[in-house]
Amino acid sequence: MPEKMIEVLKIGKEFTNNFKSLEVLKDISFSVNRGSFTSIVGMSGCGKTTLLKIICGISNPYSGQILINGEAALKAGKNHYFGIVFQEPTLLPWRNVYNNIELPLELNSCPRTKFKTDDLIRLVGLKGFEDVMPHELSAGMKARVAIARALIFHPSILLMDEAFNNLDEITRGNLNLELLRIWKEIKTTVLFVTHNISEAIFLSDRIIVLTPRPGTVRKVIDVDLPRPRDKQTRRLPEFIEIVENARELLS
Amino acid sequence: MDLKRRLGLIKEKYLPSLVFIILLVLLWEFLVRLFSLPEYILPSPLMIARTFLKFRKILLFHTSVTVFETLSGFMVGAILGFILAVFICMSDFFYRTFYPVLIVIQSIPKVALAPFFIIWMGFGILPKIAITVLVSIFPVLVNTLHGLVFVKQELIDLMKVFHASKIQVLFKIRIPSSLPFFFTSLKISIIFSVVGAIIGEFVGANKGLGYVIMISSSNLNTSLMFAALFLLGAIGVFCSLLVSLSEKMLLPWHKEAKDA
Repeated sequence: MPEKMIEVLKIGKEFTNNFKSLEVLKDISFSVNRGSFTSIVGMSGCGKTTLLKIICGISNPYSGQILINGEAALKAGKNHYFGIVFQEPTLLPWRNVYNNIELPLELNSCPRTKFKTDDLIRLVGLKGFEDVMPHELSAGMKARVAIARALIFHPSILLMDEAFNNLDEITRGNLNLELLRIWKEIKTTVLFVTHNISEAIFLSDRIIVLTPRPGTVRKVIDVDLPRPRDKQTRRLPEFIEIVENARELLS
Repeated sequence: MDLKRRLGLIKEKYLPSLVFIILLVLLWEFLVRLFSLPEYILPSPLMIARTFLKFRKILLFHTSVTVFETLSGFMVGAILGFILAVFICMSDFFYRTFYPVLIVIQSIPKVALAPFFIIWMGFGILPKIAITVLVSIFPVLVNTLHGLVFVKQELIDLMKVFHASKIQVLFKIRIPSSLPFFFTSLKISIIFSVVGAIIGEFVGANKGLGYVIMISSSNLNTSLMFAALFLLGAIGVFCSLLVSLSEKMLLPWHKEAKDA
């Protein structure tokens, strides 16, 4: 198995409408190691989301190449390599928690017994909420459902697009800890997009700082903070130093 | 919730409007008597009630005719509108071909076509149903299409990541998301349907409440006209309630989702 789970090679993307073309991504290259936690940090509008969509094969066309597990992205897209969590939880309001999580199974007519939905519900801390409808859930709970849904196929890669953006500070902090716990348990590769620098550093092994439009890689920072991380981590001088450095890169 | 509290809530909700209506009727009665208006100009509520009781059997028959025309046309229109919306949403070709045409047709007052239908289909129930179908189909079609097409992009992306087919997106995402729009359009269409049936009856008919109004107008029987008018109002309210009730039963997640 190749050590690099995702390889992004010279990716460029232009959006063209009637008269203008807009270059959103330019010459982006980086790689993500198997089982690592990587964040992409950049200001709003720098093409973070677009990059994520290109990686999981839902935004075409683009220039450059993506390798997933050593394979070309197009081929990789046929397998269930990816789980994805969006900024909005995008739950279906007419389905309860359990059925929302099982939606991907239904789409691929998978036998339900094979994938342990109950274990997944326990993993994300939703035990007892299986029959609850989305509108009865708090924003934090909805985010948990979205994470569980993304993990249903035991994906090799979990993509998260500003998943905790709409949450209040406290819930966000709690879910960061929860995400690290989940990640430790399932040992998947995580690619996390955010504009929150300290969140990115708290979670990640490595952060990729993008420049504003067109998005290019400004710097890749390795985060050598000890794990497991907890609330104390944010008070470490090393943590604060990395945050300051990254903030300077972005401003 | 216990019954007593429930009754209390209903009282609180509806009592003011009920009192207002009663006062209005009393004022009407009083003014008619005060100015001693002749019955053919403006009958008093009491006279209307008396006429209503006197002709109740005939009125009931004509009401049933109008209700039948309204509901059958409405149902055919709603089903056709929904099916057409799904087809137009699923095919770019249909969308580009029919959508502009629909917008144009929607702005034509369909009731103006009533005389044509009388020529083509005679004086029976059929032309009324045809007009009713025609007026109820467009609100359903346009609203449902909107609900089907404008689904959150992220939901579509999600479906792509999980390799969903176009048909799966339709049945799992688009149709359920369009249902609130569909029911909203039903509430518009049902009112249009009553109007459609009446216009059809105005233009040429031998039964139905529209016919009753036309005949009693030529006889200067204003009391009977009012009796028919109130029945029409009752039909409208009854049909709208029917739609609201079925929405509540079929889409429990929608109302509550909005409240939350």
